[in-house]
Amino acid sequence: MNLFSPYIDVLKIAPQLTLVVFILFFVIGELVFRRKIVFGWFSVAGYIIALIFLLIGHLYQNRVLFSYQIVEDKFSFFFTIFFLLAGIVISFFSFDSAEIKRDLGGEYFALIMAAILGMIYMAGAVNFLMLYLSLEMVSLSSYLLSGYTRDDKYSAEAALKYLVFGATASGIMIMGIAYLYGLTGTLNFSVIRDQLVSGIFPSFTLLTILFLIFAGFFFKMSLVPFHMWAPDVYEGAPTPVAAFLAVASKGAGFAIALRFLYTVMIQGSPLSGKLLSDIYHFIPVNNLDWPLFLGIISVLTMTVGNITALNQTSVKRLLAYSSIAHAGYMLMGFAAMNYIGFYAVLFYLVVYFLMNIGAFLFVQVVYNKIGTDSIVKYRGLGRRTPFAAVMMAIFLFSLAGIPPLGGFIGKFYLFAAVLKSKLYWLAVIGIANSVLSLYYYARIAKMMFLEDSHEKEKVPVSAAHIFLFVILGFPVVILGVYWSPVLEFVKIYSHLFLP
Amino acid sequence: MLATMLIYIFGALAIFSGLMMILYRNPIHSALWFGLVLFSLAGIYALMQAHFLALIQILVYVGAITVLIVYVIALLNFDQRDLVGKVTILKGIAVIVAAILFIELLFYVGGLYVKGIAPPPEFGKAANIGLATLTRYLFPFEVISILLLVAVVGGVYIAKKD
Repeated sequence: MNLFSPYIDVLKIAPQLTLVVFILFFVIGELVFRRKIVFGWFSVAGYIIALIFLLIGHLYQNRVLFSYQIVEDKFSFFFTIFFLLAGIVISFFSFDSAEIKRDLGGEYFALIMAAILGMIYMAGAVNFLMLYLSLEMVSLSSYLLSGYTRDDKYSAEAALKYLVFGATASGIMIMGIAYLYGLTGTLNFSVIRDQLVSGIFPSFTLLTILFLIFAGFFFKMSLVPFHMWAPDVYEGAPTPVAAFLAVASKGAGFAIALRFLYTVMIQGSPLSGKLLSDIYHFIPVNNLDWPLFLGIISVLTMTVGNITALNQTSVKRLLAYSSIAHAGYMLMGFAAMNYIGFYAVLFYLVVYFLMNIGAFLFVQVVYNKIGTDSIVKYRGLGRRTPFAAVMMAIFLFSLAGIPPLGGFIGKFYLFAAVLKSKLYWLAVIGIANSVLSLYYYARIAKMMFLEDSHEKEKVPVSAAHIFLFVILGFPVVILGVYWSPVLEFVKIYSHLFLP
Repeated sequence: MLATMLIYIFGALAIFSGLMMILYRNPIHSALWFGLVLFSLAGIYALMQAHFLALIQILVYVGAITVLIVYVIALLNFDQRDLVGKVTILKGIAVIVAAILFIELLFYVGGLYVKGIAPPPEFGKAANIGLATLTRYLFPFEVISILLLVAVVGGVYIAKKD
């Protein structure tokens, strides 16, 4: 091994380094700039520069960096773009947020950027050390962000709850990692995989380790039984932060779970070769039945999420439970264990990104005007802010999976994957859940358009938010009728490189 | 031979003080027992050739963290009568989950006997750790610095008054 390879690799992570430079700049710039909104523009610029560097560097494919710490492949490329775009959207989202207006400054954008940096590393980690560090980086920034409005009691409660849950989950996960290290003597994914394939370890031992490691993943993905933090945190945290946690943080959880399960926990490394056929069926290593386990977790997650969402009175809480349910739908792709299942998860994440941030954006717009997210206050909003309300209706029906919107196509591929694997019980429960979810999404739409209130004052939408509504809303509609480019994209980018 | 015996002694001490930590009602006592847990772990590390880790364990955990915990308990200044636990359904579930986990881990230990991995010679030497940190694990080392920066920025932000 070349001892100096870590120094040479520095130039290859230009996008991540850009983010580091900007984080440092925000911390110092806080002392220099009086107008705090300037940091928002700087952060947008930072993400765009990182994106440009990423696209330039992408000419070099599939490389392992820093002595097997992180890997750059198509999969990590996909998620890096995902997180950088999430950063841009969340920056615009935060510009006109009444909750954080007073405190908006360098720290806020530095924390968001640090979280995104951690997520990018999470998507590329091929070593448990790096995995854990990047996960902690995301968690730490998220705790701070959810407690960002210091004078708000609920925000403080959210941060503390998140911290306690997060510390417990990562403690359990690190215990699992420690046991795996004790068993194999390494933290490196590819070496662990080689040892697991040899099949000398008893299945029960491996399953125990897997359950322990899942604790950390499940927490990030907000799956049952590690979902309890989500409603309280989303409700207490400032709305842009809630949207950020619901989409980017969850996406990072899925990225890391996908990489770990599909490089270490399956036979061979089929995803590192050329494109597979749709029905390619992955075989778990040692014939461990983790797909079945994830199927059961999927059923529990979507059922708990949807049933609890039914009688929520706060829209943010409702969206929190709905995001739990959506994590359950996405987990069906894991349980199916075929190639459609794999890229359907990526496709669904793209659609979920658009529609979920959009729904939170509407909550923000309403909150800016009337200072609450109570569902009864949504009465008559269809007249008071027609454009935003129509967009919200699109996002809601897409979340419910009504054709011809993006959410329907996303669900279609997930169910196709499940049916291809003949997991009929899972498909039936999933479809029943989708029907159930329509009730509470439609309830919000009904409040907005069919019921009247004596309030007639217009709800203003700021320019940044109109821009976001357009760039989030139109793709949701377009993806419902013309989705094949995005589908081809996620197919090409569902490629995991393991040396 | 002596090393093996000492490992058992430190292990027993760790378990005993861990039990004491959760059984004591007074949080200050619990914190002190927790310090003893960490100390016995340091002893185990030292016996497993990880001298550097053992020293750091004593410096950081026994020295700093335990003192910090004691300070926090002293500053909180709460009523001890609030700490009297009641038996609830949730606690019952917690006990069941913990029992399942314990049994699972017993199986895990059973699995370990299949193939134990001996650490390479000179495993935990300070020189090796230094070399590894600045060559092979340089990158995670640098990532930790950003992690700490985030913690510092966040800590200052949360603590500062307007």
